[in-house]
Amino acid sequence: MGSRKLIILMAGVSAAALVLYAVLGRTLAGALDVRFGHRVLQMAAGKTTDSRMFIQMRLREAVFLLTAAALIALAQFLAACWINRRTPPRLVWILSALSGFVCLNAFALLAAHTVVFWCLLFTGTGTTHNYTQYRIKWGLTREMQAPKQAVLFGSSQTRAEIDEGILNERLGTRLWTTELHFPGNQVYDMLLNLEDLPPVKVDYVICYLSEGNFIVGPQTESIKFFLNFRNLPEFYSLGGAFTHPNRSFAYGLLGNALPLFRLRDPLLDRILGSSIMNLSQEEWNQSLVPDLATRARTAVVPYYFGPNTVFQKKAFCVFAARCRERHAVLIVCCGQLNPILGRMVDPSFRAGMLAFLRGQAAQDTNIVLLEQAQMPAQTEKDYDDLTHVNTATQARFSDFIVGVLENLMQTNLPAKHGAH
Amino acid sequence: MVFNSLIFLVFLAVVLTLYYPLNHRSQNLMLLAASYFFYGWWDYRFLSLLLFTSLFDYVCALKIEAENRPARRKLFLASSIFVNMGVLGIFKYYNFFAATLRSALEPMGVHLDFPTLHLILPIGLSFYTFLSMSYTIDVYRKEIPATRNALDFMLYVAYFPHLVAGPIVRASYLLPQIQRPRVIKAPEVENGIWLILIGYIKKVVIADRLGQFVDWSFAQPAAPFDNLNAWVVIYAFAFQIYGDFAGYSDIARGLAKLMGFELVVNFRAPYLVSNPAAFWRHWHISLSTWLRDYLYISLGGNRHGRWKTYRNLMLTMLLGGLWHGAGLAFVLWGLYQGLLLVVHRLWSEFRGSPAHSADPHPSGWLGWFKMFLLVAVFFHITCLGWLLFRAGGVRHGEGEWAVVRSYLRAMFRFQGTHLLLNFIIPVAMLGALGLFFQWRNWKMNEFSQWSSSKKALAVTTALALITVMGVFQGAQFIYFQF
Repeated sequence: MGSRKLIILMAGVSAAALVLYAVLGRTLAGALDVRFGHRVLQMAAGKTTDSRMFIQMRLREAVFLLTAAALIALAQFLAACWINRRTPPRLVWILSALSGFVCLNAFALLAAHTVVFWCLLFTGTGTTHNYTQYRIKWGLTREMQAPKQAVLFGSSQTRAEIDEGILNERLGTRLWTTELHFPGNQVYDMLLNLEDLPPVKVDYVICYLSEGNFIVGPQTESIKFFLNFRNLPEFYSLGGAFTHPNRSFAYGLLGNALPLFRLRDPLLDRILGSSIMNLSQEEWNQSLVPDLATRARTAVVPYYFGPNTVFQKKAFCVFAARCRERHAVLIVCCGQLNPILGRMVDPSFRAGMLAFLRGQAAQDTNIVLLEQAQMPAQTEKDYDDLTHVNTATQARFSDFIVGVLENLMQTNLPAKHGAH
Repeated sequence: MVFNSLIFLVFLAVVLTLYYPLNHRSQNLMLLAASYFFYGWWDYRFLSLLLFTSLFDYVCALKIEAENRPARRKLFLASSIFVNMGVLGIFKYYNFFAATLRSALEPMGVHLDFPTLHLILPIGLSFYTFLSMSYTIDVYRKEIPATRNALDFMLYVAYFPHLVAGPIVRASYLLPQIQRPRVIKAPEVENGIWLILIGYIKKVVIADRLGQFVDWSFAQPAAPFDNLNAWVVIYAFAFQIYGDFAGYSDIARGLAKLMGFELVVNFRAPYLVSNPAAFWRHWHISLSTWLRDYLYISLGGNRHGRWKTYRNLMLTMLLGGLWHGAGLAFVLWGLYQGLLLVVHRLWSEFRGSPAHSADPHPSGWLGWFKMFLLVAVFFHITCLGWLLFRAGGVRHGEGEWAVVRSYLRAMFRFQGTHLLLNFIIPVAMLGALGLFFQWRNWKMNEFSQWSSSKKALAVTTALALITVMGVFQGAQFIYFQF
C-alpha cells in the first residue's frame, strides 16, 4: 500500500469514528443500555448508578482510543518515512524500532486515562488487580452527578472500616463517595493519590489513620504506581529517599517514563490470570499463623519511631495543605489497630501520632479530627485479623461516618483556603 | 553481576565504549580486566582461584608441548586434570561424597567422622574448569598448539560472556579469535543485538515468570496439585530451565558478537526432537560434545563392542549428571539420561538404523502426525527427568525424595481431576512462547538479512514483551550454581 493511501486510510478511520459517535453515539448508548444496562449496574456494584451515562462515556472513550490509535499509527508511519530519508540505512531499523516503542507507550499513556481500557482488564470482584480497580473508580469520579463529592483515601484498613456503598446508599443524592484506597498505603502514598486525582471538585477527603500509616520499613506498592518525576523534588525535600525501598522507587520512575511499564502488572493479571500473578501473596497468606497473638508479635516489629515516621508526618502536613488548596475538608479518623496488636505497640508511638494529629487539627481548621473516643468502640471481636474489621463493624462505622458527613453538610463547613 | 541486572547494563555500556576505539592488544587487555571485574563483583575472593587454575593450565600446556617423553607429557596432563578436578572436588563434591560414604558405611558399623567444609561454591566453577582442562587435553592430543601468551589464555578462560554459565567453548575455537585482530561487521552486531533481546525474553519473560510458579509449587511440602495439574508444574519447569539456560547462552553469544567474537551455538530446539540422542545434540551442546570428546571417547566410545558402549554411555551421563550438582538426584538424573541413550541405542540396533541419525524429515500428514506423537512422548520422558533435576534443587525439610515421590504419585494418579485452568493457561502461553523460539531457532541468525521494517517490528515487539512481561528481580540463572 502506498504511503499516501495509508495516510488517507488512517485519517479516514479516525474521522469516521468521530462522525459516527457524534451522530449515533446517544442512540447507540440508549440501545446498549436497554440490552446491557442491568448487567452494567450489577457489575459496577454501586460504583455508578446511571448505566446509560456509563455506556455513553465508554463509547466516547472507545472512539477516542480508536482515533488516538489511528493518529499514533500515522505518526509512526511519518516518523519511519522521515527516518528512512534522513538516517544511514544501517540505523534505520534501530530508530524505527525505538519510535515504534515510543508510540506504543504514548498509546498506553492515553489508554490509561480511559475507564474503557481499565474495564477490559476487569476480571471480577476479588480477582481484579488493585490498580485496575483504582483506575476504574478514579475515572468515574469525573462522571458523578451528585452536588457534592467525597473521596476515601488510605490503606486497606480504610476500605475495611468504611463501606462506600453504605455512604452512597444513604447520602448518594447529595454526596457521592468514591473509595480510592490502595493496599499498604501510608500518608505519603495518599498524597500521591491526591495529586493523581482528576481535576474534579472534591468536597471531603476522608482517611482512616492508625499507627500502621506511620511505621518504619514500609512495603508500599503505591510508589510503584503513582510516583512521577515531578514528585521528586518534594519527595526528597520530605526526606523520602532514605525510607523507601529502591525497587519501588525505580519502578515508579520507570513507570512514569514508560507508561507501558506502569501497566504491566494489571495487564499481566489480565493475560496470565491473578492466580499465577499473586503467588507471593498466596505464599504470604500461607505463612500467617492462625493465632493472632503470635502473629501480632511478629507484626509489631516495625512499629517504632524512625525516619519513616518523620517522613510520613511531613507528608501529612503537605497532604492537608493540598486538601485545603482543593477546597476539600479533610476528615481524619484517628483509628486504631486490633487491640491484640495495639497492646503490643509502644504506647509512646501512638501518643506521638495522636499529639501530632491534634497539633495539626489545632493549626488547621480545615481538618476535622475524629478521635477514638468519638468513634464507635472496637474490640478484639470486631476484627477479622490484626488490622481489618469484620462486616458488622464496618457497617457500624460507616453509619457513624454518614452521621459525621450529615453534620458537616448541615453546618456547611467550608474548606478554608490557605487557613492557618 | 548477572546479565539481567541494571548494573550489568551499565558495565556493558562502559566495556563497549572502551572496547571499540582500542587496538587489538589493548582490547584483549581491557576485556581481561573487565572479565575479572565482572567475576569479582560477585565475590572477589574467588578471583585467585580463577587466576590459579588459568595459570596452572597455561604452564602445564607449555610443559606438555615442550616435552617429548610420553610419560612426562602424561604427568603434566595428569597434574592439570588433578588440580582442576581437585578444585572441583573440594568446592563442589567433598561434602556430598563424605556424607554418602558416611551413610554407606554406617550400616556396616563403621563410623567415619569426616569434617564438613563450609565453603561457598564459586559460581561457574564447573564451566571454567572444564574449559581450562579441555585446553590441556587438546594440547596433549596435539590438536592445538599451546599458546605462549598468558594473557590470551587467561582471557580465553575468563571472557565474561561465557565465564559463569558457558557455552563451554573449546580453545581451538576461541583462542584464535582472541589472538587475531577482530573485524566487527555490522550484520554481526545486528544479529548480536537480536540475540541479546531474544535471550532476555527467554530469561526474564519465560524462565523467571514460570520460575515464580515452579518455586512456589516446589516450596509446598507435597505436590500442591494432582494428575494433569502436577504435570503442569513439571512442564513449567521444563520451559523455565530451557528459557533460563538457552536465554543465557543467547545473551552470551549476542554479547560476543558485539565484540567481534563468535561463540558456539549451545541450544537448538531440544523439545522438538523425538529421541534422547537427538536431545543431547540440541540441549547444552557444548557440554554434551565436551563429554563425548573428552570422556566417552576416552573411555573407548563405541569401539569395544556393544556392552562396553552401553557402559561408556552410562558412565558418561552419570558423570554428566554429577557435573550439574553434588546430589543423589543429579546422579540419578544422569543415570536416567544414560539409560534413555542405551535404550534408544538398543532400539535403533533392533531396527537397524544408526542411533545418532537425525530425526527424519516427515512427509505427508501421517508422517507429521507420527513425528508429532514421537516428539510429544519424548517430551514427557524428558519431563520425568526434569522432575529429578528440579528435586535436586529443593531445600526443605522433607528432602528431595519426598518431593519426587509426591510428584510421581500425583502425576500418575489417573482419577477424575478438576483442571486448574488458571494455572494451565498461563503455563501453556509461556510454554508456547518457548516452543516458538525453538521452532524459529534456526532463523535467528538471519536477522541481519531481514528488511528494515521487519527488523523494527520485531525489535519493538521484543521490547514491549520484555517491558510488560519481564521479571526484573535479578533472578540468578539456574546454571550459575553448577
